[in-house]
Amino acid sequence: MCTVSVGIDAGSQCLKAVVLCGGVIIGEHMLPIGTNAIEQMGFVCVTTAIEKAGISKDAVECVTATGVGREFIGFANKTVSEVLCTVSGVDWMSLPTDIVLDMGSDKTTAIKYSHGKPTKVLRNDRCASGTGRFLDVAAKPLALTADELGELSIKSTKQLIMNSTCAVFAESEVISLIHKKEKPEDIAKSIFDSMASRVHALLLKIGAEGNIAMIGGLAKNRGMVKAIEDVTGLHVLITQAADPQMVTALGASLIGREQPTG
Amino acid sequence: MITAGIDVGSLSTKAVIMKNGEVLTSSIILTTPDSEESAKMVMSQALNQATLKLEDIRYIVGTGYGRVNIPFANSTVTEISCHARGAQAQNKNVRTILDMGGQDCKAIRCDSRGRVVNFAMNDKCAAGTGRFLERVAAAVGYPLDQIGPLSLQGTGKELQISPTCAVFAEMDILKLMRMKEEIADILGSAFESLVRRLQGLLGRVGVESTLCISGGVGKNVGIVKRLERNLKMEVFLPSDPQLVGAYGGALIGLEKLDNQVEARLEERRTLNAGTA
Repeated sequence: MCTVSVGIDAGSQCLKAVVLCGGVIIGEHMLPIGTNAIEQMGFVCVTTAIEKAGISKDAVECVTATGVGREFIGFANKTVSEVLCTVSGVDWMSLPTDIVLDMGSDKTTAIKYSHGKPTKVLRNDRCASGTGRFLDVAAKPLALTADELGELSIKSTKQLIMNSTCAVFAESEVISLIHKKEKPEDIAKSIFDSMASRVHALLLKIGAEGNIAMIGGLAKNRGMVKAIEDVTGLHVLITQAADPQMVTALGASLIGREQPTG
Repeated sequence: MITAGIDVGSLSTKAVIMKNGEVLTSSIILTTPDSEESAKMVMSQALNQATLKLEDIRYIVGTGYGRVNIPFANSTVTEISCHARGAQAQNKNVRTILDMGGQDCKAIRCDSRGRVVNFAMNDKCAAGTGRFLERVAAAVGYPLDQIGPLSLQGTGKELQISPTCAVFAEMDILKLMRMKEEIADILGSAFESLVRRLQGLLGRVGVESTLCISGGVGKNVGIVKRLERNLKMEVFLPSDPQLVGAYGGALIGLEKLDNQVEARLEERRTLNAGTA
């Protein structure tokens, strides 16, 4: 058992680091990778999180890496799969549900869990629809940030159906909706609805009912969460105890705390 | 008799004007968000080129996904029928057509008269379409008409590029460029992935020689050569693959005119027989 444990989640777009001391989050940091080397950025991310925690580097007893780029974090004591870290983090949140939806930039995962262990995992990582990437590509003609799009979509009063599941085609559809003088808030809502439909298919397959937990960057987007609730009829629970985007890194630090190496 | 075919596609709109089956002129423009306007523009351009007026054209067939918005067309015909007819008319041996358009790909089987016998389509996913190629060209920083020849100049090095998603493939390409891989090799690998997807589509209807390639993507020599190599067969490439749909439409228009004339003659014969 180590007292000060660091978890780092090396995603495809961002690095997330959490510093855990005695089971409490004392520091965290998120850094976009950009075009830089993952190891280098990973080191910067962890160092910054430790600085924010106000402790010395030497106090850190273990570093656990997860995420798609975990093998590049050379300074980690061990690497653990994302699914295990996600479930560990979500379990800690103690939300009244057994299903977590993780919408990332390049993939979306639905995990059913029980007693802190995953029991079923369903993933969409072959197609950009239903991922953060869809939002980036399809919404480009509207020239707004993801957060701005989210806030805008909540004001929608007219339902527009987006026919394309493909982000590339959706972008063309958005251009033609703009040309037809449809309101930006309604267009934004149709984009989130399309992503929610894709996610709905995944959630139906995993047997989601009632409540689901949601983590990942898009969990912080009010427009995305509302669209999921509107399209699926499920109630989305988002933790207040931690940043939803940091939950997998938190899970890594919790696993490292129990088992620092091997 | 002068007939015309107008093919309103997702990326480009094409017009072909012919006289008794011989092409007088053709025109291609980029489709604007207003498909009716696109049809009018391309028709007007073609008419100017041939120094004709709209009234000179006896029959106009509209096709393509925007066909419902061509107010001056005499009838609309599916692009599948137009491509089959247009391809087979240019080469009597054509029995399979691979139409690679702006936003969809179709594999079409036809008989010896250019009638459609079977078809399969991918219109859900950008991988394998012209829109994907546009994004590839933008990602590597070369004009669309250069990426085909460039892709044939690589070392044959196989690089990892998503075969299932155009968006992910684009990201893979950008990553490979940052890693300083040769652009020719990047393009070669991207097209190899794309061609394997197209082979899958063709497999759904079966390939019977001669295979014709139509649609704008047929202008990419890198993709055509790879298809030929992977299928181990020679492929018929029309002189302008992008015009095959509009060409087929104009031919179908001529047929419909002939049928109308024949129908009127038959009517007259019946009337005459009745009064005799």
